[in-house]
Amino acid sequence: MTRNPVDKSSARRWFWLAVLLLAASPGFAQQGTGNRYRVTTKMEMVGMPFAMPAHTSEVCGPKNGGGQAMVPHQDNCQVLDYKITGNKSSFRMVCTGREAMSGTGEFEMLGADGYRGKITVDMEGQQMLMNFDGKRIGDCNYATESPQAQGQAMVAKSCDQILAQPADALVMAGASFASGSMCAAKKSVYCGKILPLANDLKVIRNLDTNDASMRQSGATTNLPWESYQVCGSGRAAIIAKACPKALATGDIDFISAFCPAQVEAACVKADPLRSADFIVDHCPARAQTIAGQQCAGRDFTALQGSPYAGFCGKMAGRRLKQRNSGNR
Amino acid sequence: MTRAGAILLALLLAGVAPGMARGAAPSDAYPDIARAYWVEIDNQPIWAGRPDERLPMASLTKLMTALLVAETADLDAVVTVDAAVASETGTRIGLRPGERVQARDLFTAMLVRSANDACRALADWQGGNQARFVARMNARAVALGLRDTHYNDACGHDGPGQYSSVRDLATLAHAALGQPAILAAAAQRDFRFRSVDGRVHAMHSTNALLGIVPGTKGLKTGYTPGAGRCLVALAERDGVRVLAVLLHAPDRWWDSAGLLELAFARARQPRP
Repeated sequence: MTRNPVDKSSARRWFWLAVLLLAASPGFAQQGTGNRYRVTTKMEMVGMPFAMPAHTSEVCGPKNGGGQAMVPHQDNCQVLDYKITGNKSSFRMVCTGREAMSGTGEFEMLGADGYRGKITVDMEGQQMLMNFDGKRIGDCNYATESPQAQGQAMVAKSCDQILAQPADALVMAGASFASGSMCAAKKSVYCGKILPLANDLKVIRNLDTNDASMRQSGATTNLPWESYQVCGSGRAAIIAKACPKALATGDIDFISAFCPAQVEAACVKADPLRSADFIVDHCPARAQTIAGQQCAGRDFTALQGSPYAGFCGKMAGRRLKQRNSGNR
Repeated sequence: MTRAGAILLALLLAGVAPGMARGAAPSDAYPDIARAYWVEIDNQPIWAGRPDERLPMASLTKLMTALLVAETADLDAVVTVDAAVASETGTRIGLRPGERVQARDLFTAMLVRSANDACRALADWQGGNQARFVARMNARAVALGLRDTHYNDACGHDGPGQYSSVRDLATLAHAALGQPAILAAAAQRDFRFRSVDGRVHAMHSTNALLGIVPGTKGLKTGYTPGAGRCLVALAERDGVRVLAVLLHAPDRWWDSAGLLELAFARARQPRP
């Protein structure tokens, strides 16, 4: 049977929970807010002829244990059958989902300043065994140095890094700030950054283009417009707010693409020299009026030097299309 | 071996070049635009009517004349206009027998103004006489795979045995676009030159699309009573190239301008 290499991230997770479980065990010294331990860990896959090299690290555990509640675990894991008997603790843990696994753990205090233990993990039919020995080497500040606190600090740092990204990457990151997600605590900061971006018509165009492109490629998560839903907004609301602005600024391309309700008003304002396509395609009455003044009845060569040459060419296309409307 | 001979040998050794793919099926979306028409976007045919019908092509013939001259002649050479040139009819720039003109100027005048006297001067210079030059034109047509094309005249006068199809003309246009001298001449709206003897010849392009339809680069116009109004139009915008061929188009300029706009609009549509 093929054995996969030891999954370091999974093993590391079990190691930390073991340390904290240890902290729940009786017999800790009472100096400082936490106990600093030097822990030596050995991991091996059961049945494999070799074991990973021993790993030494320092961890900060609480002075006064919190019992089962102190066992750190992912949302997809449950601590079960947690028991303390004398100077020993034991438990079971079951994790479901993507990294499904189950395991058992045991800890034993060796006097006031030491402990040992082992954890056995079963992941997809493979057993991994971890033995560890810890020796107290001093005090620590549990509030800031515990694995949990350090993990939270790492998450906060990751979230800040996301928030520091340029706009085009920031608008893709909404899933990280949704309720229950890694950076949910910073959602208001995130929304404070991306909501003003949607006041820019160019940003809206890019959002729509990227969203459509990603959907066409089969993406179903981390879509740009979903980030705005995280912030209580969304495509429809943002475009509804943008359309009057597009009309006021004469952004004909935006109106043509997003604002059918503003087309009629835009037809009145559109400049045939700059927005010939829009007038020809969306403003038939005005197009006919301008064509009558600038194009109709003229020899084609009379358009040489006329600023309406482009407009008249597009009207010629429209006439050609209408003449042959039954043939395509 | 002369340069002309080497090129001809290479063409023959390479075999007959296939004509425009006959498997593609462009739609006949604009049947009233011309007796026959062909439109491509980036070398892909999209619309066509009667693509293989043999029709007179008037001065679109000069594209083949230009192709042969560009491929084999020294355009820096000086050509002495022969007496036969004076017998040319139709559009002319007024060359006189014995007048000495640089070949490049005759070449450009033939394409810009569709000048028959400039065309004849080049054909006689390169072929020795028109009949021999026309034989080379027909050989080149075979090499290009132009199944529905034949020449009796180097410059496009109506006559039996002078015909082409819009599909063949599109193929010929692609061959012509491989010659920078043809592209450069076809894009000029105005041209002025001085013969070696000091006579000044000034002319405007016969292609009314130049300077009016944005992106127009050429390519050749034609008119005879038998062929009607003919056109090979080439335009480029934002990296998209449209080629349109019309034979016997009642409203050549307005309709070709409209056709180019419709083609570019179609090119802008997102692909499924």
